[in-house]
Amino acid sequence: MADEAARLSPDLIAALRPMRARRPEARFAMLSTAWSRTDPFWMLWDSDDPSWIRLKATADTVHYDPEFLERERRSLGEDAFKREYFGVPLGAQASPFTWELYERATQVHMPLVPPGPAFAPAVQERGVPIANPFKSTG
Amino acid sequence: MFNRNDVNTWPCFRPLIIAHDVGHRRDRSTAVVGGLGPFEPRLTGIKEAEELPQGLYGSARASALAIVDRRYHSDAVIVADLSNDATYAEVLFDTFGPSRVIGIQISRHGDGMTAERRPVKHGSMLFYTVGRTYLLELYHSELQASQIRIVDGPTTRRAYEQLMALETEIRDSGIVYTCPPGHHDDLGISCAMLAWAARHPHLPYWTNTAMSARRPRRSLPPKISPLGWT
Repeated sequence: MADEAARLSPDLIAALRPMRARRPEARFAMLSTAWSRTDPFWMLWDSDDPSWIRLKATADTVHYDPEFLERERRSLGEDAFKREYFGVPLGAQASPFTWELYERATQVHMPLVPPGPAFAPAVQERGVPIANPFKSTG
Repeated sequence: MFNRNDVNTWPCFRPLIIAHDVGHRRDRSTAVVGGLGPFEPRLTGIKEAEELPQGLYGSARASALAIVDRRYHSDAVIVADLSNDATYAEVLFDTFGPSRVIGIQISRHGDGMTAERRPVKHGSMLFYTVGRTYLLELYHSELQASQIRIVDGPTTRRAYEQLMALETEIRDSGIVYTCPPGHHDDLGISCAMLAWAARHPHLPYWTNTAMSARRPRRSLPPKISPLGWT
């Protein structure tokens, strides 16, 4: 039985598995609070592997005093609270790359009236010189 | 008609950059083509993102990259991620010559501002160490500031979707962007590499060196000596 399995290294889990080789009736159990999305526990939990039975005991399946939960939320912060009480691992934060940013980068705005010659592209003024890396490195 | 927001109407890139990422298993690689727009204020444009055929190694992978490069008149500065295969630098050096390839190593930390000269077969190559988080956050901030223009297409969408699928973890050392199991982020990272290179202060030197290597050398003027007078 691997307790706190999310915090164990993949190498340790790999070393545990062959221990059942001569005991086909033996079961390999992992117990853990969620931690990250790339640890051995979560990768099995999140996989489609039907050979695993998944049992969940989180604050939405077990009754806890709501006031107690609210105090815990305030004390731990949102991320740690979700991890400890709802089994939501770290890394659940959404990527900052939103679709709106992509749309903005691909949107082509065509002005109804074409710009005149005064809006022709200008030449950039020379700024502060930067050392040539081809000369400065040994 | 030229429209600075539409990369397809840009007459050229100044300079043209190809970002080339090699996956950690080395069987996948990418080529993202873009660069700075030719007119001021200069935007970074991403014209094309391509996954090179899988299962290519060494010179076969470099040849696949050369096919992309040739479509753009072999004028590109090639920014290659050599984190997973440092020996690949030699192959790129052989394929593209001594002055067009800039190597980068993507690690945990670093802003990629310090150049390191590493020896390769018959010369040396510039290398920069860049933090993965730095690379992604720079690309994100450029997107937020509307400094990046992307040609919308299936592969550029896929590149962006890879970035959308990244998961963030807040650690003591800062935010870490992780790729979920079974997903890839190499195309997205290549876009970030291109954006990093396009804003790099050493970019003019990379391009000058690349161009000067291809400029025909002047023949020496005839020697004039008073000894010729008799």
